[in-house]
Amino acid sequence: MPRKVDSTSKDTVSTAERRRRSVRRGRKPKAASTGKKKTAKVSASTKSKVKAVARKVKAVAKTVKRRIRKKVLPANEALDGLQSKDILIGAPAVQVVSSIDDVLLSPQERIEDAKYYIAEHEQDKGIELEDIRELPQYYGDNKVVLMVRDPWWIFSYWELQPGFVEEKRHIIPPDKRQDASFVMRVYDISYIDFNGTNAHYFFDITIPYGAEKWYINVNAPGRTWIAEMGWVSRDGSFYPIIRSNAVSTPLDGPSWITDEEWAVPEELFSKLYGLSIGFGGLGAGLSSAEMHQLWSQQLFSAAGSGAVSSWGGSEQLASIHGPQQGQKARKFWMVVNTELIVYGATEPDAKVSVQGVPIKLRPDGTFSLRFALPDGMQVIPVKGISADGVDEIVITPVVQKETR
Amino acid sequence: MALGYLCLMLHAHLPYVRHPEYDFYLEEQWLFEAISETYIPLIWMFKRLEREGVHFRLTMSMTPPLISMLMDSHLQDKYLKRLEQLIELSHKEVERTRWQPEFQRLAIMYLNRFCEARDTFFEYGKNIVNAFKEYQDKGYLEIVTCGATHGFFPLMETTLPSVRAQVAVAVDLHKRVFGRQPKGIWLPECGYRPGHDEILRDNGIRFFFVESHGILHGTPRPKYGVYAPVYTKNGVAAFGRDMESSKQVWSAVEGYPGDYWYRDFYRDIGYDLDFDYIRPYIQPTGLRMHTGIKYYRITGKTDHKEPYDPDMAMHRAAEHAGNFMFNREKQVEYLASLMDRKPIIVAPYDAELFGHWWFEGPLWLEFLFKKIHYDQKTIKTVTPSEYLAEYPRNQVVTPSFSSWGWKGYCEVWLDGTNDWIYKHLHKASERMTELVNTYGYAEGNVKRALKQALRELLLAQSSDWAFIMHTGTHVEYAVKRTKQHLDNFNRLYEDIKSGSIDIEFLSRLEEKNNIFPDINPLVHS
Repeated sequence: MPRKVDSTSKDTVSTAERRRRSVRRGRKPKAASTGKKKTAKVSASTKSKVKAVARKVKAVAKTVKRRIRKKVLPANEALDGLQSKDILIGAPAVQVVSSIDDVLLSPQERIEDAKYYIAEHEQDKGIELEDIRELPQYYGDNKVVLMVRDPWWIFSYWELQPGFVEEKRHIIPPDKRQDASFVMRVYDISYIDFNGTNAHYFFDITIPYGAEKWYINVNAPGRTWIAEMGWVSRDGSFYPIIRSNAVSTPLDGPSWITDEEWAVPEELFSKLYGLSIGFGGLGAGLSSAEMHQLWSQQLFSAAGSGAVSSWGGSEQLASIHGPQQGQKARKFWMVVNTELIVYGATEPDAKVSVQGVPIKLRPDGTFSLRFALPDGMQVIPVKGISADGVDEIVITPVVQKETR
Repeated sequence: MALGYLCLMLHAHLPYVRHPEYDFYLEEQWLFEAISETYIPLIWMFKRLEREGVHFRLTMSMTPPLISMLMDSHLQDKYLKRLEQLIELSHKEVERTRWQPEFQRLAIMYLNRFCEARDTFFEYGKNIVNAFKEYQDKGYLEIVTCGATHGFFPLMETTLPSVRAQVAVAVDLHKRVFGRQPKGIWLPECGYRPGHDEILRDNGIRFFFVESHGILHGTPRPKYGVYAPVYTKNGVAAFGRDMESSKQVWSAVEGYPGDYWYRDFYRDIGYDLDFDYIRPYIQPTGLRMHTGIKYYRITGKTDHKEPYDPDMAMHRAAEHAGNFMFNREKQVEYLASLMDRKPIIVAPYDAELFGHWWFEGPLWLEFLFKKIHYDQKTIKTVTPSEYLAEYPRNQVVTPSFSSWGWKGYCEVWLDGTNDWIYKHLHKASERMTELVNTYGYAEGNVKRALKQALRELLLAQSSDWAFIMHTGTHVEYAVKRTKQHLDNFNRLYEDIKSGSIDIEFLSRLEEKNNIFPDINPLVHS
């Protein structure tokens, strides 16, 4: 048996932290009680005095030394994890097509999330909302909806009834039907009254059978968009059957339009811009393009309004995001604490104090106290005085606890 | 004379969670923790600052679901029960930690806090909304409203009647509770889309807040950046968030709440202590949960945590407040040199950051107000209304579509985890409009059903559900809530349309999802 004891080792991982990690990684947490227990040496010498009435003094102490495997999940690994995450965040958002596995939150979202963090809810099987019906898969509509996600991406969902599509298929000349493919055509209709053919430009997305939603990378801020769904025949003719609502993507940089009455020189504006987004004087003298760059940097970098926060310890982030590639964090851990229960009984109307502090008896004259038991010696005089003040009994358990 | 202004804005919100059908409901603890750790400590701060005669101005949004829960007697009683439990536990803790003075003083601190929370709770007749109203009426606090259920407006573009209902229902409740028309609104998640300003104007709203780039990328270019409000074409003022001051609190690198002396959020005795001992204070199922009693400080980037030291933490909070003030002074001095008017620095935060996550947050805020009052002359705290009164003339700018969510737009509420909800939400909204157009002036049970249908729709629209699906905490609950409210809505819709209202079902819903008792369905049009 290794005998080295280092109860203050930096590698110690708390029960709660560990448990949280396992939960975040989707595993069942280990109950704290699964750790091996070994009863430590507890020498309780009881010195009774005259007329020993009182009954039992029981020292409950569970102690095992901490044996820590080196580098369980040291802080520097957690930090490494953080850095590789930064790289991911730093990548342009436009490359993330759909949802990403890792949950990335801005610091204030981390707080908002903490608002909901109270327990290991996932395993909360005891309480259920009453059974609920599933929502309808279809509502019998024929429609396409566009929603703006950000300056570069639009989300679309649609519902098309088979009968409607079948019927509309007849708009394709019979000889072209065979090879026609079903597409979504996305038009840039900025600043125009769209008539179906006058868009600035368009692009097609081939829609696989069964798809009902799509993230569309328009990659053009400050433009207005509309989509149609229909068939494109092999000769390039388009046969639309349905049109969406129009949406506008926001600008991803300052407007080029200025205001005569409230004119602002470029130099001054860039200063204010830099200040506003938290870059202090850095914005001074920048062009619009440079300002945009600064802003995106701010928006997407962990160092700025960042997607991660080290609050509460960056190791949490590493655990939330799972072990990084090539780094296998050791999972084993153990925590041991000890408590001491002092209990006894006397006449229900007696006055009892423990270490000089008066305690309250239960109606039947029994009492029980529970103490966290640190290393060292505890001398615990328990004094009982009869209601009439005539009799006095003192019983003093002495408990020695050490952790090896 | 101050050279510029600081507008501190706290957004207080929790989704409507109320389950009278259970004695204990895990998600209700969100509210209970926030009451003990954020809302009541803020009230303590108001009282102390007032007693000392400190000039301070704070802006707060109190969302309709939060107000409704705080005023609900069922939840008030449940909160009290929880508080009594924690007081009992704290007593045991004081005893248990007798041989560990470094922990016992913390146990005593918690015992005192819980007892004082109970006193404050009773002082306001179990309805702490009264406290906020009191400080509003005394002029310290400007309370603004929010969406009725914190629906995320930018993703309701094809169903604008729902945006109208979100605003109108919120304004109506606000007037009833606070006795006055809200002048401002905190748009849920700060989500703005050009055009929504018209809806705000129609509801008597004079100002709202937007993310920095909402102003900076507005058209035409804003002359003062985010340091002065702009008017939209509909004459509603938009105040832009200052990232510089936000960063100091939020940032991973510079943020104050990560200080090693501050209390660690995760280490809680609900997890740390012996199962048999803690059993009565955790979930009835025996699963552990937070108690709010936390003994450790952040300590460092390590799993090893040192005991919390309240004196050192207080010291750090004071230092951080001083640092924040110093930076604002420098910022204002610089801005004043660039601008021909007094700049306003708008610094909004989630209220629950203060106290719940950042335990020392309310203390920091109190130090900040005191220091601003006693130690300098450059800046002054202000409410948006006061600023607009001083500067009624502002540039007309159309702010850009934006939110304060991660990456600045809608991605948090629109990604692979939650995009499935919009098809259903939009359909329900269209159906609601249809119901209002057809049965808007009906009486009796149809009217009752119509009202409940709107309650269910609004509850389904809470951005919290999409947010939770995105973050991965409590997903199952969020999915169920979304589905359940939509299903309730659809059943009511079918019942109304078919002319056969299931009164028993309707009554059950009215009792259970009882938010907005005075709702007027006609606002959804």
